[in-house]
Amino acid sequence: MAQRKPHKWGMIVDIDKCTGCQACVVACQAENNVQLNTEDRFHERRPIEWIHIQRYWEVPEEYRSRPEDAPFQDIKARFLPVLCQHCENAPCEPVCPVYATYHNDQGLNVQVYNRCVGTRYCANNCPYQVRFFNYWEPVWPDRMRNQLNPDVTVRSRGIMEKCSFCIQRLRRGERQVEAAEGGELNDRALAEGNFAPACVQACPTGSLIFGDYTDPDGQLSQYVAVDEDTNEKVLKDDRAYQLLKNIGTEPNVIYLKKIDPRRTGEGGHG
Amino acid sequence: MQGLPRIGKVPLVLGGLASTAIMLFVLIYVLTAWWSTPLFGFGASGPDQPIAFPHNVHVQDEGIACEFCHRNVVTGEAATVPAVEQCLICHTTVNGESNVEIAKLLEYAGRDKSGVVVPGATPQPIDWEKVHRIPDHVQFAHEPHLRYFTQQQDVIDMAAAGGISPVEQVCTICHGDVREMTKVKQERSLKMGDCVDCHRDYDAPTDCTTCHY
Repeated sequence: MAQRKPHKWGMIVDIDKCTGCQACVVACQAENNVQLNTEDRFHERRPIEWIHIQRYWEVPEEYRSRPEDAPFQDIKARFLPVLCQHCENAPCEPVCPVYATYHNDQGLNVQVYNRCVGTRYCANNCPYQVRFFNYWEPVWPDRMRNQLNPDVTVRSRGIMEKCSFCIQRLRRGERQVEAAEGGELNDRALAEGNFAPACVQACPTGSLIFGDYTDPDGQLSQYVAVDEDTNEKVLKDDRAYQLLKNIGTEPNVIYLKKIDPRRTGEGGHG
Repeated sequence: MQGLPRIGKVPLVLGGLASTAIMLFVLIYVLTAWWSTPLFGFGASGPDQPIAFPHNVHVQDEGIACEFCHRNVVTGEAATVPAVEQCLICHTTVNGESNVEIAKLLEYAGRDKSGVVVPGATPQPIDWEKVHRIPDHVQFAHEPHLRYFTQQQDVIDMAAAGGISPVEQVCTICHGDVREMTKVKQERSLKMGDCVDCHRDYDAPTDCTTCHY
């Protein structure tokens, strides 16, 4: 068996389509055996959400200095789904003393649960706050014991966890595509076989797009190109940006800006 | 015993014997853990099953293929243990009138010794003891292993020489010669080193997330 194809998985988050419905959050909890976040967990500031929606209120520019005076119809709710950015230059990786987190050959920042000793250095060094520590043994009510996904390890107390880009689905996709076609998993097979991450599958507006940066015909190719010499991503879309780009983490998750109808003069719901 | 050195009334030699025994016990414990297979006693011959199912009779004498009962093995992640219904394909005819173990099976299926349905009886699944256990943080899939090895020419040749199917030949790589076992036991340690050695030999991926996710 030859080595696996060096995929480079990535995601596009189109903020313009996001309605902040949190279907991705629910899908992720169910797919990845994420613990149930009770009210207490939120009060402790220790909920585990591999993807979460950040909500912002945006006021018109002229009211920036005094937002309380802004007319309510001009205040806009803005939603930002934040998940592990799978940084190329990830700050969480060099601080792990046991190599429990590293970058694999498919462009994923992976967390190896059985190596993790729970120092929490990675979470403290993550600028996106998307790494979560299991302070307690996760418990599910008895009636939910058959709900757990058998393809995903249940993380015990003292283990760091984070978004894995639903690697269990990618592995299953690889197996099934290789078995059926003898080929490699590509964007087309990914879409047809529903091997994309749970959040992407659940998103009702299609604001999340998952694919392979190295696939020239893939879904991501219209937004991002990979420079062959420097191996860096070149953003092709005017709206594309990366979270905290200035700190140099080179995230593999690319965001597309919200189109503001007032600024562009295009029609909209206002 | 008068001449032997003592502490109080206890001869010192007893202390030596006791510490030797303790060290032996620790050594066996460590070796057992290291090989992850018991050396002797305590289930070294495999766990007791609710029904003493003889693989050798079914595979060697009757010539049933592995994947006939473990149906999912060539298509999915888990090999799966067959449902009781599947045993009844044969065992309503080969009934339990002369064999107490088959009678036990028929009782699970809600039938009497001669294979006739007992009115009002509820069929029960059989609680087989798991023999090959891997930790929860390991995700193992049978299908790609069978797919790869059944395509290897040396495996096909070995299977032809032994007069068995390639699939059966591949099963023996990890599970040992189950066709000759009256009681199944774990043959290989199936620890991570065992897996990784093989993955290196056959140029399979050794990235952590091949198995751990």
